[in-house]
Parts: sequence; structure tokens; C-alpha cells
Amino acid sequence: MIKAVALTKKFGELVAVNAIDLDIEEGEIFGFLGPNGAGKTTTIKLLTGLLKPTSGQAFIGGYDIQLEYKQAKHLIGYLPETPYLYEKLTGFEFLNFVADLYSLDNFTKKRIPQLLETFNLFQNKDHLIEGYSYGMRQKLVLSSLLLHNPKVIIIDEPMSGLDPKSSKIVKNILKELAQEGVTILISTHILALAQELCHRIGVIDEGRLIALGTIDELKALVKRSDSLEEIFLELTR
Amino acid sequence: MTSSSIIKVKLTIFKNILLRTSKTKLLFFFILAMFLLGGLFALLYYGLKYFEVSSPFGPYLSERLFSFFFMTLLVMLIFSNLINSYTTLYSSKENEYLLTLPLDHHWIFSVKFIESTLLSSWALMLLAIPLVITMGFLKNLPLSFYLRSASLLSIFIFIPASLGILLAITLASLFPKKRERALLFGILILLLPFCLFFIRYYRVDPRADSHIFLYRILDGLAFASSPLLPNHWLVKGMSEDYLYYLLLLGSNALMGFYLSLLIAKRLYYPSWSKWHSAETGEKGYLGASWIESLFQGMNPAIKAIIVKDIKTFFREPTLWGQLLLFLGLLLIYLPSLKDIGGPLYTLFYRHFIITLNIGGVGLILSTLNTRFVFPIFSLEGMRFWMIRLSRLEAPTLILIKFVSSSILCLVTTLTFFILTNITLRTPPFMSLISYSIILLMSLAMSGLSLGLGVLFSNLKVDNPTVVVSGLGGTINGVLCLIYVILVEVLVGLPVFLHLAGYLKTSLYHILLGFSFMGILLLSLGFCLIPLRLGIRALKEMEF
Repeated sequence: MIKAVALTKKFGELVAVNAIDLDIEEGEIFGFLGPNGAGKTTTIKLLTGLLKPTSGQAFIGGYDIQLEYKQAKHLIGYLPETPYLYEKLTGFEFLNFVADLYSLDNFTKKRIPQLLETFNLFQNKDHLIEGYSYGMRQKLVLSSLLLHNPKVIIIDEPMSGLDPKSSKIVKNILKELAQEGVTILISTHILALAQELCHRIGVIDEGRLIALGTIDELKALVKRSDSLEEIFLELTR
Repeated sequence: MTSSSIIKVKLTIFKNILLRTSKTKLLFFFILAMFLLGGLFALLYYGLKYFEVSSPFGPYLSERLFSFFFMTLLVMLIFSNLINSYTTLYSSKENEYLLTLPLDHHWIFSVKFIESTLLSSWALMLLAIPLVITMGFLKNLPLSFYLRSASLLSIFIFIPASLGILLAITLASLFPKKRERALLFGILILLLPFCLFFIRYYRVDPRADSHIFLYRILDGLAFASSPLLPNHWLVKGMSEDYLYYLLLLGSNALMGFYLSLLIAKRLYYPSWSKWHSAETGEKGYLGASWIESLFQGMNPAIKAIIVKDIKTFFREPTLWGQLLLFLGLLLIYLPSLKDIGGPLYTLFYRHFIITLNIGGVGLILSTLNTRFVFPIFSLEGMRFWMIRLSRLEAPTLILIKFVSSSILCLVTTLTFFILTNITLRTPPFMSLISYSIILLMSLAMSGLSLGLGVLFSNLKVDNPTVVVSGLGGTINGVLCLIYVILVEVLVGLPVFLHLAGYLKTSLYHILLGFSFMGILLLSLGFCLIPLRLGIRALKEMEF
């Protein structure tokens, strides 16, 4: 469902992403780990079509993200690390706007109150977003990306700013979606989250994918049976 | 779907802002705008009427001046669109969001085109209103003239918008993230029409004859009436062949938009990606050591803030870029003072030129202060807690910002005035008076803008345009303008009375002294009252 073929991105002389190959299956939750500045966010920006690769290709649901970007982006729900929100809209207006952007019909739009309810935002739906807390904003963007029933969800730091209750809700939703066949790519620093949610994990360092596999496969790779944290530290030493 | 949805949401945002703004605030805005526009109209109307009555060249000159005003408007609109669209198309977070959605890139571009055009043009269009009304009043034109003018103007703005936006895309493609180079390039292009004026102006024999002097100005302004320029079509359409010029403007505006769209289809997304892929981790030029050495022995906290402000200023090309544009204009203009001699070269003439220069520099100072000094506190934004938690007291903080912004204003304007006085061979006493007035103006407008900047601070935004275009920014701009007008009246009154024969030379000098005292008191009021209010507001501010 998500595929990268020798995906490379250079920022001047700096090789931020170096010939990455990825193939993430339908219904899979894939964890993307790496130290700060390793190239995680750049890879995500290449996969979502925000940046043009220097070489290589990225595919979403079989569509080339550069050549068939409209079809590919229709399949994606993307939550960046610092999401953009229209401060002077209310939460309800924002979700309606997103629904319009995806040309959703009135029947699908009926999911808006339901999503707001799920994320405990219903009572604030008519308040301007500028008054929302960080966690509320994060939940609103999560609601917006679920609105059009995406086949692929790409999230940069999904639990950032969420309280324990909301984190639990998000984790459950992601698990349910994966069971329904949605492919999920999570970039995170929270190793416990990756260990709990992800079927497979990719570790990126200095732009290269240095390890890829299930937790057991990674353990075998570093010949240790410790926690994911120990494996991560060993790999990115 | 898409573009209409984005436009719809922008309208909802506008409605939300309007609904949540108090009625008193809106009324205040309205009265302020009326006051500003009314004042500008009075200035233009009586100034041009005086020209028309007092000189045989009057009507001809006022027509040329109208063309030149609209030419200036055209250039300002191109520049404003260039700056705004560069930000709107490339560095805006909204675009990063929109580009992740299944939207055609050129649809995103077209929405941004409209947004940038409206944002860049509304203030300048407001300024065009008194200009149009002046034209109508001077020539006793019927009501239909104003309706024609409104329709022509609303189409006209799309031509400079297309040019500015095309320039922004080209510069972003050629110099991704090298904003300094892009801006310098843009400034050079925009200085071109003014260079043209002075090239024509210098072509004529500079012998001292008042008619030749007038002829030189008329000839210099002639390029603004070129039939190839949209501002000429606009002025012509207001007075004759309305439909022809409306269609001419309309077809060119459409062509401009279509051309921008065609180019955006090919270049917008690649240039956006290129802009965001430009080499990161750029080293901060203007190393720390030598700047810090300038402030040796100073309190470390004060030094830290000053050094930070200096570095931020030089590393942010939009800040010094506009300053450079103003300086460029002034430097082009300066040599024109040199070759006037003979009967015109009197003490009075020098005073007259200095009066005009004080007005011009005052307007530049008011723009600089509203654009850059007013948002200083707001732009500290969420980082402000860091400074506020230091041991520095509110008055010290304000004083630091006040001194640094005053020095910046003073260095720029004083350089220009020293050059002017040398060129004009102004006597030392008169030079000293002009330097003192410039010093007072720099202090007054910095104090005013800083004080109001704290009073009307908005710590939630990072975009200076948003801060400046709010209520506080508008009030600041208007007060700066009022201050400049008052100073100009005080400086110009003795000249006017002397010229009209009401004043003997001895009284002229006494009145000059009184004028100076008036400016001193006025400046102190404009500087100290807002500063005090700002300090009080900062002490009570919560982060």
C-alpha cells in the first residue's frame, strides 16, 4: 500500500534520505524510528508528496505520488508533527471545510458530530480553534484525517500532547483501523508505543534505513533479547 | 469543490473575525479611516488646486502628477504583491497543509493568487480613493466618473498582482530560500521606473531657469503617461473612452492571470519543493564576536538582547530589504538637487527643499516604524517569556528596544540629510536645525511605535503583516502620519508665509525658531506618552 523505491532526497550537499526501499502492506501498522535529524520527517514528506524526491519513487495504493498525486492523496490521511489549523474557524467549521475539500456527501458529513464526540471535542465544537489547547488541536486534526475514510494513515508523533485517556482512544482507533485494512505509518520517538502498536519497525539513521523487521527480527539482528529501547540504542550507536 | 471550498472558508474566517470584533472597535476603525482619507483628500485637493491656479502649466502638471501617482501606485502594488505572494506561496504553513490534500496545485495557486492580490492591494486601493475624488472635484466630473473609476480600479489591481506574483515565482525558482538575493533582485527591478524618471530629468540642459526646471519635471514625469502602461489606461479610462480602456485593462488582467496560471502549473509545485529543499543548516552570517565586542562592559542581559536584535535584523532580508529600497530611491533623487543654480538657488529654495525632504523622510520613517518597530514586541511572541523572566525590568526592556530602533532610523535618515545638505551647500545653522528635526522625528516615531506595539501586542502570530494590519497597526500608522503632517506644517509654515509675502526675513527666522520649539514639544509628547503606556502595559502583561 505504501511503497518507496530507492527514494532519495538531497538538501544541497546533505543527503537527508538515502536510497530508501520500503513496502508496507495493507492493514499493517509500521513504525518509523530514528534519532533526531535522521530523515524521518523528510521521508514522510516524500511519501505524502510534499517534497519532490531527488531520485527514486514513492507509491500510495499503486499511484505514483508525483505523477498521480490527486489519486494518491485521496487515499492518505496525514498528521504532521506541527499541524496547520485555521485559528479563526470553529472546530465544527474546520471539519466541514475538510469534508468539502474531499467532496464528501452529506451522509458522510454526518460523521462529524460522531468524531467530535469520540475525541471529547463535541462541547467545544462551536469555539474558535485559537482557544483550543495543544491536545485538543491534535485531536481535531486526528478527527479531520479520519473523516474521508483514508486507506493510508501517516502520522508524525501521534501521541504528542495527548492526555492518557486520549492516547488510549487513539491507540484503539489505530488498531481497529488496521484490522479494517487501513495501512498506518507512524513516526515516533516513543518506543513503547512502537512496541505496542507496530507489526514491523524500520530504523532510519543518517538518511539510511539501517534495520527493518518485526521486533523479534530486530532482536535477532542485534543479537540481543532486550527491550526495543536497547535495540534502538544499539542500532543507532 | 476545492478552490471554492477554500474561498468559502476564507469568507467564514472573515465573518468570524467581524462577528467577534466589538462594534465600538469597528466604528473606531471606520472613523479613523474616514479621518485619514478625508485628510489626504484635503491635502491633495488644495495642493493641486493651488498648482492649477498659480501656474500656467498647472492643469498640465496636475494631469502629469495624476499619472505619476498611479504609476507609483502600480510600482507599489507590484512590490507589495511580490513580498506578500513570496510569503503566501512559499513560506506559509497553510500551503504545506493544502499540498497534502488531493487538490490540483494550480487550484491552490489560484486561491493564493486572489488572496495575495486582495491582501496586497486593499490598503493602497483605499489610498487611491482620495486621489480619485480629488480628480473628480478638480474637474467637476459627474457621479458616473466615480463608478467608472471604481470598476477600472478593481480590474487594474490584477495587473500588478500578476506581475508581482510572476516575479515571486521566478525569484523563488532561481534563488530558493536565498531570500536576500531574491529581494535585492526584486528591489533593483522596482527601482527601474524611478531611474527612468531621473534619466529623462537629467537629459535636459540644467541651466537655471524656472521654466526649464518645470519643463524638466514635466518631461521627467512623461514616462508615467506612456500609452503602454496600465496606469495610463486607468487614468484615460476615468476621463474618456471608458469601455475601450475597461476592456484593455480587463483583457490584460485576464492575460496576466492566465499567464500566471500557466507558469504556476509548470513551476509552482517544483519551485515550492525546491524552496523547501534548499540547503538547511545555513550558517548565520555576521558572526557573534565582533558585534558583541561593540557592547563590551555592558550588562550581559542587555547586551544579549541588543546583539540578538542586531543579528535578527541582518539575517531577515525582509527587514532591511525595504530599507534598501527607500535608500535606493533617495540616492537616485539626491543628484537632482545639485544642478540647480542661479535665481532658484536661494536660501529660501534650500529651506523649501529641506521642508520637502523632511516630509518625504517623515513618511519613510512612519512606514519603517509601523512596519518594523510596531511589531517588535508581538514578534517576540511565545519566546517573550524567556526575556521577561530575565532580571530585566519592563522600562529597561523598552528602553533597549527604543534606543536600538531609534539608532536604526536615525542612521538611515541622517545619512540622507547630511548628503542633501552637502549637495545644497546649506549653511551650518540650517543644517543643524534639519539634523535636530530628524533626530526628534526618529525618537518620536520609535517611541510611539514601540509603546503602541506593546499596548496592542499580539503574541500569538509570527507573521508581521497580520500584526501590522490589525487595529493597533492602523492606529500607529495614522498617528505617525498625523505627526509627520504636523511637523511638516510647522516646518513649512514660515516658508509658505515668506513666499506669500506675509513675512519679512527677520520675522521668518524668529518664526523658524518657534516652529522648532513646537516640533520639540510635539515630538516629546508623541514619544513619551506611548512609551509610558507601553511600559505600564508590559508590567501588567501575563505570559
